[in-house]
Amino acid sequence: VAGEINSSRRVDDAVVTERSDPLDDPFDGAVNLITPISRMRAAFRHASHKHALGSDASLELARRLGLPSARPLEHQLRRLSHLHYARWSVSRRLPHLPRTEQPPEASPFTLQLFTSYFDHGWRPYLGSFIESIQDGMGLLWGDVPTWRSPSHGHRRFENFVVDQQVPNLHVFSAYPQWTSNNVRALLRYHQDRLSEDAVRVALAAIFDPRPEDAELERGFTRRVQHVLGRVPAADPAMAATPAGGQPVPEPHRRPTHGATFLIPMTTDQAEAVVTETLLDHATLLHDRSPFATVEGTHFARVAVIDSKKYVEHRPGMAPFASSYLLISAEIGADTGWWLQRIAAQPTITGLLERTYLRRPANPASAAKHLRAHCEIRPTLEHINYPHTGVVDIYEASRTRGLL
Amino acid sequence: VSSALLERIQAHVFRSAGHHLRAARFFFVRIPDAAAGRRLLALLLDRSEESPPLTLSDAAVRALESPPKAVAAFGVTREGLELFDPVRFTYRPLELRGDAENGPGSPNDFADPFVNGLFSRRELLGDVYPEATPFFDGERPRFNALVWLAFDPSDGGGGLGDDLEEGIAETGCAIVVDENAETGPEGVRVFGYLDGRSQPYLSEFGSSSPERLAGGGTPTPDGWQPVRAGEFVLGLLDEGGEADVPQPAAVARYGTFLVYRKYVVDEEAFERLIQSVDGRPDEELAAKLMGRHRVPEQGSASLVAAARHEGGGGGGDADGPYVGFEDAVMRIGRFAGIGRQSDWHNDFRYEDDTAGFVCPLGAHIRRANPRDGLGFDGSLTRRHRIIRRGTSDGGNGFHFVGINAHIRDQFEFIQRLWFNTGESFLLGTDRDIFAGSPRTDGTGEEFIVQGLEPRIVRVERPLAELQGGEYFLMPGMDGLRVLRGDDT
Repeated sequence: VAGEINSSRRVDDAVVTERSDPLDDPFDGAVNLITPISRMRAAFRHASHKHALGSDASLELARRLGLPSARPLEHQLRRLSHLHYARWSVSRRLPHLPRTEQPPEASPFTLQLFTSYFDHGWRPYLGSFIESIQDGMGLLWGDVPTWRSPSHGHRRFENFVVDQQVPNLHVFSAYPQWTSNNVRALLRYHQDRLSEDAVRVALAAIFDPRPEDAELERGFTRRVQHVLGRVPAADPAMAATPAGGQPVPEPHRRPTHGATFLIPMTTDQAEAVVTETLLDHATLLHDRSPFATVEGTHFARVAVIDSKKYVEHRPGMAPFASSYLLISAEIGADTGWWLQRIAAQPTITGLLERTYLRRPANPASAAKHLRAHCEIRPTLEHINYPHTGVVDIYEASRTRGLL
Repeated sequence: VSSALLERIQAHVFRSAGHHLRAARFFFVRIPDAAAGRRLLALLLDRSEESPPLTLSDAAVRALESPPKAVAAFGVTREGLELFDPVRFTYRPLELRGDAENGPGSPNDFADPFVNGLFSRRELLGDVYPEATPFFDGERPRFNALVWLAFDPSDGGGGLGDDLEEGIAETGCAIVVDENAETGPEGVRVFGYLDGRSQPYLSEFGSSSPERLAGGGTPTPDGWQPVRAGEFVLGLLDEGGEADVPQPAAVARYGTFLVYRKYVVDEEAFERLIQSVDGRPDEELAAKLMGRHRVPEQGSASLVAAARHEGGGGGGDADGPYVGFEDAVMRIGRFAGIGRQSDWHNDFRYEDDTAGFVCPLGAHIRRANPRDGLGFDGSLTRRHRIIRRGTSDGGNGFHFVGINAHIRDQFEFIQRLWFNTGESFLLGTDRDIFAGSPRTDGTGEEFIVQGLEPRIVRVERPLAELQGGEYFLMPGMDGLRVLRGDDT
């Protein structure tokens, strides 16, 4: 139906409303999808995640039962080169801190958390993500009431993702200037350079005269030609932080893994934490982040699940009795050791004081409580370069002349 | 797709940049008010014999009959659209819209690129404009609509352009920028390469030339499948399995988005770049940089296709031996830039060249359309295709024209993530030397020619400088009539 045309409207009167595009947020790569699932289903979800992961036992069981089996998710995620990590965690019941003022939780729902870090934001790679894990997607999210499979349309799935998203208050990366492919290129160059140097020493010892350097260098260039693309220089300030520059002390060193904590708080406090912006996105690229003070921290984020707001777009769901502070990190250290160190940071201490933990006697006590009652263990986890510490990455950048 | 549907879509979506409509006029128009806008549309929709049509018949698109001597098109910016009907078409931010308003007839919900305009996306796209440009007044475009005429210059078509110019002036609209283009008979050449060789093969519109499917479609493990037309036409099924039409649907249905960008290319700098020690151009290097040969003897074939062809293997070419440039020109075909005959130049994949030894990983055509080169059997590229209608002004000016239904996922994705960084190709932050945005520190690029003797070529940039441009909605024919004020 044609509308009434307003001929008097002149272009100079045109009101131009600039719209900011939330999907173009550069920090959007650190995505949190927080999905309510029934507590009844949470136990099943543990099993389905194991199946999606493609563990030998579950694949064998599926084969024997004649069930369809997902392609092992790990194999698929490994091809997603823009993904630093992805982690699914299912809380069988929402965390409760005993001997605190936290009211008991009667909700029949609990939460499934998905955290990840995509280069350039998640949205450009949504297609790849769908392609890479489409077999397992139903196992991961299929029983969520608002689930929209990508097979029903990519944009509907995109809307599903947006619906489940909880924004970050703070995101930390120990090497924000480097994408996942940059990291892999740096490591590959570093390893090849080391072996090349070793070979040259050996050749010099065996041959007289030894092969020309130019000839050796040509061979080296041939080997590393696929990792020679320009990589941004390292930020010396980041490299000088404990997170970037110092190794985790030997007894506490571990392969990189995720650590996720949901810490109950009142909804009033949740609102206050968000509005007071105790943590600021602006610190992402800076060495001032509290997470920069702890060795072995690759990535970290802080978010608040405000119970009241969370249910606003979920009709039929009553608010949880508590809101939650989410602290999640990828670390190459023992979780307890790392937690104790981060809990000692004044900003984090200030945040923990807003939760039902109130004033823990000391960081050790806070860490103990958090591990015992608030840790949500991953059910499914993919880390792109699990045996590489942050220090190794900076060391590799030095080899490449970037530091 | 029925002829009836074809006639609801503006012709430029389907017609070629490379066929006989070799000349073009781009009139960037400032519509002062809705009444003048309606007069302009009345002029364009006039179907008298002298006026260039906005649509092509089914038979003309399929080249079963001679297409007209000229074809026109109309595009409008968001500001221009609001001018026609501020009540129905004015954009309102999402947070001010109630759910009830999201139904049919709600204020427009076009995606951000179109809502905010090309200039507002400069940071995201890395665009740098000259300080003084006829396209912008500060941060706003000086115009709010585009009238684009493509014509056959050999048939007195120039007169049509002048007539249209006069006609536009009589409607009360002002032509702010008037750009001319004319290309040689072999098609558009930029830096000596033939442009527009590879275009998406659309499911609904390609059935009469199925040989274009290989290379023009989406690679699959078993071969190729046509690209769904919804990637280019709003309201038709797209590759995500949806047929969404943004509001106001009455205007947007069967429309598309046109991306216009004017470049000035530095041909001399490029010739210096590829100059070999004997002073002659190093055509092998030129081919490596683009991924396609530019010399006539090679028929502008892509490196991968040419290598396969020379090797005599792969795919069992049905069209016999390669016979040279004339043959290649014949094969360019009558529409969509590439041949109606079997076209081995475009029938190739990167599956056997993952290391880039034949076509470098950073070559322009490999970045612009990586086909199956990103793994996942090629499915990662299927949401990121554009129809290109670029043309040159015969000198150093190049008019980039891209047609897509989802600017952010198509044009902007390619520009941001395939041209402005090399991450997807394991090339670090290396940029496309032709189309990547210039670095803010003024440094050039290093282009890695992979091979048994890899070569690193230093490229001073930019080779092409952006002058201006804009995103336009090209409404469907019904939409144009709604804007004109017709009852539908």
